[in-house]
Amino acid sequence: MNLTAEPLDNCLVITVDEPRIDAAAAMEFKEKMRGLLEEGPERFILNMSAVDSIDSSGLGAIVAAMKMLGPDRKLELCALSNKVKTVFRLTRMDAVVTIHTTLEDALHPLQRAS
Amino acid sequence: MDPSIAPDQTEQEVVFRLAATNEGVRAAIRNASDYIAEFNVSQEDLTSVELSLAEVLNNVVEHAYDGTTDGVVELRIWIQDPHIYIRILDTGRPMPNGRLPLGNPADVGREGCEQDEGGYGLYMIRQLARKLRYTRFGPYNQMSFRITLGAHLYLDAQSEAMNEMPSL
Repeated sequence: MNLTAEPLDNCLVITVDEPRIDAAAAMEFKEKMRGLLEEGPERFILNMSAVDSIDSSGLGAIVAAMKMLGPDRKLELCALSNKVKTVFRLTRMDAVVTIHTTLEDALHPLQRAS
Repeated sequence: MDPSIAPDQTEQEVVFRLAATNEGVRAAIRNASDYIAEFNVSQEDLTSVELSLAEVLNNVVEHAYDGTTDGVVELRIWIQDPHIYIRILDTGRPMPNGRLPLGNPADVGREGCEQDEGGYGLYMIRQLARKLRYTRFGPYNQMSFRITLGAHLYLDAQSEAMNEMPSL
Protein backbone atom coordinates (compact mmCIF):
# COMPACT_ATOMS: atom_id res chain seq x y z
CA MET A 1 0.00 0.00 0.00
CA ASN A 2 1.70 3.14 -1.27
CA LEU A 3 0.44 6.55 -0.20
CA THR A 4 2.24 9.74 -1.16
CA ALA A 5 1.44 13.09 0.44
CA GLU A 6 2.12 16.47 -1.09
CA PRO A 7 1.10 19.89 0.28
CA LEU A 8 -0.63 21.93 -2.46
CA ASP A 9 -2.59 25.19 -2.10
CA ASN A 10 -3.25 24.90 1.65
CA CYS A 11 -4.32 21.28 1.24
CA LEU A 12 -2.55 18.02 1.75
CA VAL A 13 -3.05 15.90 -1.36
CA ILE A 14 -2.72 12.18 -0.59
CA THR A 15 -2.35 10.00 -3.66
CA VAL A 16 -3.22 6.33 -3.36
CA ASP A 17 -0.76 4.52 -5.60
CA GLU A 18 -2.54 1.17 -5.50
CA PRO A 19 -5.06 -0.48 -7.86
CA ARG A 20 -7.47 -1.49 -5.10
CA ILE A 21 -8.49 -0.67 -1.55
CA ASP A 22 -10.07 -3.99 -0.63
CA ALA A 23 -10.21 -6.18 2.48
CA ALA A 24 -6.58 -7.22 1.91
CA ALA A 25 -5.40 -3.60 1.80
CA ALA A 26 -7.82 -1.79 4.12
CA MET A 27 -5.92 -2.25 7.38
CA GLU A 28 -2.64 -0.95 5.98
CA PHE A 29 -4.44 1.93 4.26
CA LYS A 30 -5.96 2.93 7.60
CA GLU A 31 -2.64 2.78 9.43
CA LYS A 32 -0.80 4.80 6.77
CA MET A 33 -3.60 7.37 6.71
CA ARG A 34 -3.39 7.68 10.50
CA GLY A 35 0.25 8.73 10.17
CA LEU A 36 -0.50 11.27 7.43
CA LEU A 37 -3.55 12.82 9.10
CA GLU A 38 -2.03 13.35 12.54
CA GLU A 39 -0.99 16.88 11.73
CA GLY A 40 -1.52 19.18 8.82
CA PRO A 41 -4.04 21.55 7.27
CA GLU A 42 -7.83 21.60 7.59
CA ARG A 43 -8.39 20.18 4.14
CA PHE A 44 -7.15 16.86 2.78
CA ILE A 45 -7.72 15.57 -0.74
CA LEU A 46 -7.52 11.84 -1.39
CA ASN A 47 -6.46 11.42 -5.00
CA MET A 48 -7.94 8.12 -6.19
CA SER A 49 -6.81 8.33 -9.83
CA ALA A 50 -4.74 5.12 -9.59
CA VAL A 51 -7.44 3.14 -7.75
CA ASP A 52 -9.52 0.87 -9.96
CA SER A 53 -11.73 -0.76 -7.33
CA ILE A 54 -12.81 -0.62 -3.72
CA ASP A 55 -15.05 -2.78 -1.52
CA SER A 56 -16.94 -2.14 1.72
CA SER A 57 -13.78 -2.75 3.79
CA GLY A 58 -12.00 -0.04 1.80
CA LEU A 59 -14.97 2.25 2.17
CA GLY A 60 -14.93 1.60 5.92
CA ALA A 61 -11.24 2.52 5.98
CA ILE A 62 -12.00 5.86 4.29
CA VAL A 63 -14.75 6.50 6.87
CA ALA A 64 -12.20 5.65 9.58
CA ALA A 65 -9.89 8.31 8.10
CA MET A 66 -12.71 10.87 8.23
CA LYS A 67 -13.27 9.94 11.88
CA MET A 68 -9.57 10.51 12.61
CA LEU A 69 -9.95 14.06 11.26
CA GLY A 70 -13.02 14.82 13.35
CA PRO A 71 -15.58 17.52 12.56
CA ASP A 72 -13.19 20.46 11.99
CA ARG A 73 -10.95 19.00 9.31
CA LYS A 74 -12.21 17.61 6.01
CA LEU A 75 -11.27 14.75 3.74
CA GLU A 76 -12.42 15.17 0.14
CA LEU A 77 -11.97 12.73 -2.74
CA CYS A 78 -11.09 13.19 -6.38
CA ALA A 79 -10.65 11.22 -9.61
CA LEU A 80 -12.85 8.18 -8.89
CA SER A 81 -12.95 5.29 -11.37
CA ASN A 82 -16.37 4.09 -12.52
CA LYS A 83 -16.16 1.07 -10.20
CA VAL A 84 -15.28 3.23 -7.21
CA LYS A 85 -18.07 5.66 -8.08
CA THR A 86 -20.53 2.76 -8.15
CA VAL A 87 -19.61 1.82 -4.57
CA PHE A 88 -20.05 5.41 -3.36
CA ARG A 89 -23.39 5.68 -5.15
CA LEU A 90 -24.76 2.32 -3.94
CA THR A 91 -23.93 3.10 -0.31
CA ARG A 92 -25.10 6.75 -0.65
CA MET A 93 -21.67 7.81 0.56
CA ASP A 94 -21.58 10.12 -2.49
CA ALA A 95 -24.11 12.31 -0.67
CA VAL A 96 -21.90 12.53 2.42
CA VAL A 97 -18.39 13.02 1.02
CA THR A 98 -17.30 15.81 -1.32
CA ILE A 99 -16.16 14.19 -4.57
CA HIS A 100 -14.32 16.13 -7.29
CA THR A 101 -14.01 14.90 -10.87
CA THR A 102 -10.29 15.68 -11.10
CA LEU A 103 -7.52 16.85 -8.79
CA GLU A 104 -7.47 20.10 -10.76
CA ASP A 105 -11.17 20.64 -9.92
CA ALA A 106 -10.50 19.91 -6.27
CA LEU A 107 -7.73 22.50 -6.09
CA HIS A 108 -9.24 25.24 -8.27
CA PRO A 109 -13.04 24.88 -8.29
CA LEU A 110 -13.63 28.58 -8.99
CA GLN A 111 -11.41 28.79 -12.05
CA ARG A 112 -13.49 26.13 -13.72
CA ALA A 113 -16.79 27.81 -12.93
CA SER A 114 -15.75 31.18 -14.35
CA MET B 1 -31.63 -15.46 -25.88
CA ASP B 2 -28.73 -13.13 -26.43
CA PRO B 3 -26.54 -14.68 -29.14
CA SER B 4 -23.45 -13.36 -27.33
CA ILE B 5 -23.96 -16.10 -24.73
CA ALA B 6 -23.07 -19.41 -26.30
CA PRO B 7 -25.96 -21.86 -25.73
CA ASP B 8 -23.68 -24.83 -25.12
CA GLN B 9 -22.28 -23.09 -22.04
CA THR B 10 -25.53 -22.05 -20.42
CA GLU B 11 -26.34 -25.35 -18.77
CA GLN B 12 -23.20 -25.82 -16.79
CA GLU B 13 -22.18 -24.61 -13.39
CA VAL B 14 -18.54 -23.64 -12.99
CA VAL B 15 -16.86 -24.26 -9.64
CA PHE B 16 -14.00 -22.28 -8.10
CA ARG B 17 -12.39 -23.32 -4.85
CA LEU B 18 -10.49 -20.78 -2.82
CA ALA B 19 -8.64 -20.41 0.47
CA ALA B 20 -10.58 -18.32 2.98
CA THR B 21 -8.05 -15.49 3.00
CA ASN B 22 -8.10 -11.93 1.66
CA GLU B 23 -5.64 -13.00 -1.05
CA GLY B 24 -7.77 -16.03 -1.91
CA VAL B 25 -10.77 -13.74 -2.32
CA ARG B 26 -8.83 -11.36 -4.58
CA ALA B 27 -7.75 -14.21 -6.85
CA ALA B 28 -11.23 -15.78 -6.94
CA ILE B 29 -12.87 -12.50 -7.94
CA ARG B 30 -10.32 -12.09 -10.72
CA ASN B 31 -10.81 -15.66 -11.99
CA ALA B 32 -14.61 -15.48 -11.80
CA SER B 33 -14.60 -12.11 -13.53
CA ASP B 34 -12.34 -13.43 -16.33
CA TYR B 35 -14.67 -16.39 -16.78
CA ILE B 36 -17.82 -14.25 -16.92
CA ALA B 37 -16.17 -11.70 -19.23
CA GLU B 38 -15.94 -14.43 -21.88
CA PHE B 39 -19.72 -14.23 -22.21
CA ASN B 40 -19.51 -10.63 -23.46
CA VAL B 41 -21.34 -9.16 -20.47
CA SER B 42 -21.07 -5.40 -20.08
CA GLN B 43 -18.49 -3.75 -17.85
CA GLU B 44 -21.31 -2.55 -15.55
CA ASP B 45 -22.66 -6.08 -15.11
CA LEU B 46 -19.16 -7.34 -14.46
CA THR B 47 -18.75 -4.68 -11.78
CA SER B 48 -22.02 -5.80 -10.15
CA VAL B 49 -20.75 -9.39 -10.04
CA GLU B 50 -17.29 -8.44 -8.75
CA LEU B 51 -18.74 -6.23 -6.03
CA SER B 52 -21.27 -8.75 -4.77
CA LEU B 53 -18.67 -11.54 -4.83
CA ALA B 54 -16.25 -9.36 -2.87
CA GLU B 55 -18.82 -8.62 -0.20
CA VAL B 56 -20.09 -12.19 0.26
CA LEU B 57 -16.59 -13.72 0.18
CA ASN B 58 -15.14 -11.11 2.57
CA ASN B 59 -18.00 -11.86 4.90
CA VAL B 60 -17.13 -15.57 4.87
CA VAL B 61 -13.43 -14.87 5.57
CA GLU B 62 -14.08 -12.37 8.34
CA HIS B 63 -17.09 -13.86 10.08
CA ALA B 64 -17.74 -17.50 9.15
CA TYR B 65 -14.05 -18.42 9.42
CA ASP B 66 -13.24 -15.60 11.81
CA GLY B 67 -9.87 -14.85 10.20
CA THR B 68 -8.53 -18.42 10.51
CA THR B 69 -6.60 -19.25 7.36
CA ASP B 70 -7.31 -22.96 6.77
CA GLY B 71 -10.92 -22.58 5.64
CA VAL B 72 -12.03 -23.48 2.14
CA VAL B 73 -14.74 -21.72 0.17
CA GLU B 74 -16.52 -22.98 -2.90
CA LEU B 75 -17.85 -20.52 -5.45
CA ARG B 76 -20.30 -21.82 -8.05
CA ILE B 77 -21.39 -19.79 -11.05
CA TRP B 78 -24.05 -20.66 -13.56
CA ILE B 79 -24.87 -18.31 -16.40
CA GLN B 80 -28.25 -18.52 -18.03
CA ASP B 81 -29.08 -15.37 -19.94
CA PRO B 82 -30.24 -12.92 -18.65
CA HIS B 83 -29.15 -14.10 -15.19
CA ILE B 84 -25.91 -15.02 -13.50
CA TYR B 85 -26.60 -17.43 -10.63
CA ILE B 86 -24.05 -17.52 -7.84
CA ARG B 87 -23.70 -19.88 -4.88
CA ILE B 88 -21.04 -19.64 -2.20
CA LEU B 89 -20.47 -22.50 0.25
CA ASP B 90 -18.30 -22.70 3.35
CA THR B 91 -18.01 -24.84 6.47
CA GLY B 92 -17.46 -21.97 8.92
CA ARG B 93 -19.67 -20.69 11.70
CA PRO B 94 -23.35 -20.13 10.94
CA MET B 95 -24.74 -16.60 10.64
CA PRO B 96 -25.75 -15.14 14.00
CA ASN B 97 -29.44 -16.02 14.59
CA GLY B 98 -29.29 -18.07 11.37
CA ARG B 99 -30.12 -14.99 9.37
CA LEU B 100 -28.49 -12.53 7.02
CA PRO B 101 -28.14 -9.03 8.50
CA LEU B 102 -29.76 -6.19 6.53
CA GLY B 103 -26.76 -3.90 6.27
CA ASN B 104 -27.11 -0.15 6.02
CA PRO B 105 -26.27 2.75 3.70
CA ALA B 106 -24.53 5.93 4.78
CA ASP B 107 -26.68 8.26 6.87
CA VAL B 108 -26.98 11.24 4.53
CA GLY B 109 -28.09 13.49 7.40
CA ARG B 110 -24.72 13.18 9.11
CA GLU B 111 -21.16 14.33 8.54
CA GLY B 112 -18.51 11.96 7.18
CA CYS B 113 -16.86 11.65 10.58
CA GLU B 114 -20.16 10.48 12.10
CA GLN B 115 -20.74 7.56 9.70
CA ASP B 116 -20.52 3.89 10.64
CA GLU B 117 -17.41 2.07 9.46
CA GLY B 118 -19.30 -1.10 8.51
CA GLY B 119 -22.59 -2.51 7.33
CA TYR B 120 -22.25 -1.25 3.76
CA GLY B 121 -21.29 -4.58 2.19
CA LEU B 122 -24.60 -6.33 2.77
CA TYR B 123 -26.51 -3.22 1.81
CA MET B 124 -24.64 -3.16 -1.51
CA ILE B 125 -25.33 -6.83 -2.27
CA ARG B 126 -29.00 -6.34 -1.54
CA GLN B 127 -29.10 -3.61 -4.17
CA LEU B 128 -27.07 -5.45 -6.79
CA ALA B 129 -28.43 -8.96 -6.37
CA ARG B 130 -31.85 -10.55 -6.27
CA LYS B 131 -33.12 -13.74 -4.59
CA LEU B 132 -30.41 -13.35 -1.97
CA ARG B 133 -30.74 -16.31 0.37
CA TYR B 134 -28.77 -17.77 3.24
CA THR B 135 -29.22 -21.42 4.18
CA ARG B 136 -27.49 -23.61 6.72
CA PHE B 137 -27.51 -27.35 6.09
CA GLY B 138 -25.31 -29.76 8.07
CA PRO B 139 -21.88 -28.15 8.37
CA TYR B 140 -22.44 -25.86 5.37
CA ASN B 141 -23.33 -22.22 4.98
CA GLN B 142 -24.73 -21.40 1.58
CA MET B 143 -25.34 -17.95 0.17
CA SER B 144 -27.10 -17.82 -3.14
CA PHE B 145 -28.20 -14.92 -5.29
CA ARG B 146 -28.56 -13.89 -8.88
CA ILE B 147 -27.45 -10.89 -10.86
CA THR B 148 -29.59 -9.92 -13.80
CA LEU B 149 -27.70 -8.62 -16.82
CA GLY B 150 -28.60 -5.01 -17.47
CA ALA B 151 -30.18 -4.55 -14.03
CA HIS B 152 -27.83 -1.64 -13.27
CA LEU B 153 -29.79 0.36 -15.85
CA TYR B 154 -32.88 0.19 -13.65
CA LEU B 155 -30.78 0.98 -10.62
CA ASP B 156 -29.41 4.11 -12.32
CA ALA B 157 -32.93 5.21 -13.23
CA GLN B 158 -34.03 4.64 -9.62
CA SER B 159 -31.22 6.66 -8.12
CA GLU B 160 -31.82 9.49 -10.59
CA ALA B 161 -35.47 9.52 -9.59
CA MET B 162 -34.39 9.67 -5.94
CA ASN B 163 -32.10 12.61 -6.62
CA GLU B 164 -34.96 14.48 -8.24
CA MET B 165 -37.23 13.99 -5.26
CA PRO B 166 -37.65 17.15 -3.18
CA SER B 167 -35.91 16.83 0.17
CA LEU B 168 -38.28 16.63 3.10
